Amino acid sequence: MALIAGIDIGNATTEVALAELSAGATPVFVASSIVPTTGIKGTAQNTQGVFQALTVALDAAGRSLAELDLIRINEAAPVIGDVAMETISETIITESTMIGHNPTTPGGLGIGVGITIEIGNLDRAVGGTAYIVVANKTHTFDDVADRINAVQGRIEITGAILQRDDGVLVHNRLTRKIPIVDEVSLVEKVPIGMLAAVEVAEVGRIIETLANPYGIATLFSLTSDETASVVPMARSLVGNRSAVVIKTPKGDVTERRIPAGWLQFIGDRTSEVDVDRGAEEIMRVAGTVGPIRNVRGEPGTNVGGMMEKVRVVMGRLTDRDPSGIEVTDLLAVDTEVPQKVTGGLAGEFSLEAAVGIAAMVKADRLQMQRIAHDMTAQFGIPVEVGGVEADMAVRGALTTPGSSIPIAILDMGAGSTDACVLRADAPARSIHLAGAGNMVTLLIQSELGLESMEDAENVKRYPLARVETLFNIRHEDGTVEFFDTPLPPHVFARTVVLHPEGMIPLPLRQPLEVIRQVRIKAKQRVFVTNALRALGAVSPTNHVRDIAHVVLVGGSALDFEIPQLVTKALGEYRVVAGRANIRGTEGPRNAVATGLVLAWEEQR
Amino acid sequence: MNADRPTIRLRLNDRVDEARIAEVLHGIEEEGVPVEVTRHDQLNPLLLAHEASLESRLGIGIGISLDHVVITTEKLPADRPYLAAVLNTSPTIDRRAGANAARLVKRMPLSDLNAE
Repeated sequence: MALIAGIDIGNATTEVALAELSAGATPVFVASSIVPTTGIKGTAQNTQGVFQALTVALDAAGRSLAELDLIRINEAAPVIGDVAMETISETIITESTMIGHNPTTPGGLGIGVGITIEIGNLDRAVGGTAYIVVANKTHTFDDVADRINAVQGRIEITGAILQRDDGVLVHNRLTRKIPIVDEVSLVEKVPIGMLAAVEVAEVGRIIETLANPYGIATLFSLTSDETASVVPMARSLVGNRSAVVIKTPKGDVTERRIPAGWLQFIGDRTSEVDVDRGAEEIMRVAGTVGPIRNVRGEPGTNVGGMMEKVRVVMGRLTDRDPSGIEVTDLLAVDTEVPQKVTGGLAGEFSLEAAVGIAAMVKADRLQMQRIAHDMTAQFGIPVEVGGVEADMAVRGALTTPGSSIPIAILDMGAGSTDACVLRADAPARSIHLAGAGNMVTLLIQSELGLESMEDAENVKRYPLARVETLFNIRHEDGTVEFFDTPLPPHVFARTVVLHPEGMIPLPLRQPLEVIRQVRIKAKQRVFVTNALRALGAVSPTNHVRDIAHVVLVGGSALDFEIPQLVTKALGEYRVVAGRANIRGTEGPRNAVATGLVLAWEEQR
Repeated sequence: MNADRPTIRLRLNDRVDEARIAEVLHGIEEEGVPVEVTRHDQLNPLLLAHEASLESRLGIGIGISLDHVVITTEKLPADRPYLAAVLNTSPTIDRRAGANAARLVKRMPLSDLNAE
């Protein structure tokens, strides 16, 4: 009888399946364990996590490390440089300025046009001219209102720009009402003596004139060429409740497209594609070169730098020459990134087009042999490298009750998406693709403009709810849940993530439904795209529809909605897909670790 | 004033100078919610707030006495108010306390009363 551990080192977790094997009998699994992976998958730092995972499993089985006869680890393909963003458009405002933000409480209503003037200089203003007053935070609302009331009548004041959050207070004290934009953090940058327009919309409405290029043209008497140049500015003001546009003499606004560079796919053929053509075109070109052997980026461009970084990091981790590292798969996804508008005065952001890229480096069997060798020395137990990861996963997946050959598996992890087809009369076909859970987290983080990766991870993993009153929340599906004790003030009226350890308020102002859609779309763009790509590649006919049954495994198969999204998408190809239940007990986890043990049995 | 008008009620202890609550009132005003202030000899800010909330048609009451601002709703017991701060810690905190009372009415996210 032998005690064997199958160990799957993944991008996010390291899993162990511990089994007793005796000749002629089916293996008896005695314990499983799961711990976070230490270091990047496929590197020497993994040893620590492996030891930890082994200890947990051995303790659970009441066995000691010395009793272990063999350790089998997966042939882990390190996936790094996994995610990067390339912005391919940008809004820049030069020598002209705008303020387009949503202070929660602007003052007044309507639109005012006039020459900007500092509030301290009102006594020097000449009659017969319309003015927009600019006040920094040294002026209290009483002061601002008094000064405006004092001169109103002698000169005409048509609007105000305030640094403090005082818009309503000033408005309530004015004898003649004007639109007021407040909370302008960089008020000192507002040019003085220039023609400006201030617009504040009614509660619940958005500005109409300043978000319309022809509206701006009417207010500032622009020529048709000048009107064309304010289009990006008008666009970035859409959806605001208040805005200011200031015309400066040489003011012009340009949108320029940054050359993102090209990507070169090297396979049976070689093909190049401009990154700014978007994700769909990149993936189409990637599909035309046959099996990808390497991917290069245009030197001296952003994408070139990104691909270079992947090679350098990988080279350092594996002690290899960076130039010899080959990128064997790449997933591109269209996305939008909030970018600071150059020339904005209140830290405005504009959603710019971007491409997110996940890249994967070829598995290096020699590297894994080295790690296995190190572990053998450290643990004093033979460690061997098992076969291709997806082949192991399919063996593990077959322990799911109700499954049988022919079978296809889709292994959705954190760094990569793998697929494998096993048929009775043919060798297993498998593929290993870039892009999985980590890519989803990146898309969520950048599209929502979240500062912390942790918040993005939480948005990905757990459903949302909105705290409606002190005692109830409304879940994202519309159902209401009541609480006996009041919900704490820091979550009141916020969109929260329903983390198992409690509600986490999100630092976002977008409505819940917008956040939810960003989350769902990110999952679809990564996992649905990769599911179709992977299954197409391993299908005997290269068509997804010729695969009958797909079993979903891997950490991302545990997600509360990814399996449904994939199942639904595959349903359109008449493919039946469902979540695995490894050994009838483990759910979609532990497939590779289990497969590693079973494969050894078959080898003998 | 019409007793049926929906307002936040603020109950102020007789001994607290009106000038000390100016920023609290400005915070409520900036958020665009009406408020009515009444004076009482009750010294306990918890009770002032609780009674104010019961009186408010919006269900939100503020009690100010000694050095405390207490904000609560009609649904909470007197000894368990929702928000509390030390009065006149800074103009910003006073303003936020007022704004938070208004935001409870408007069901908008609150500001932190413990950070500057």
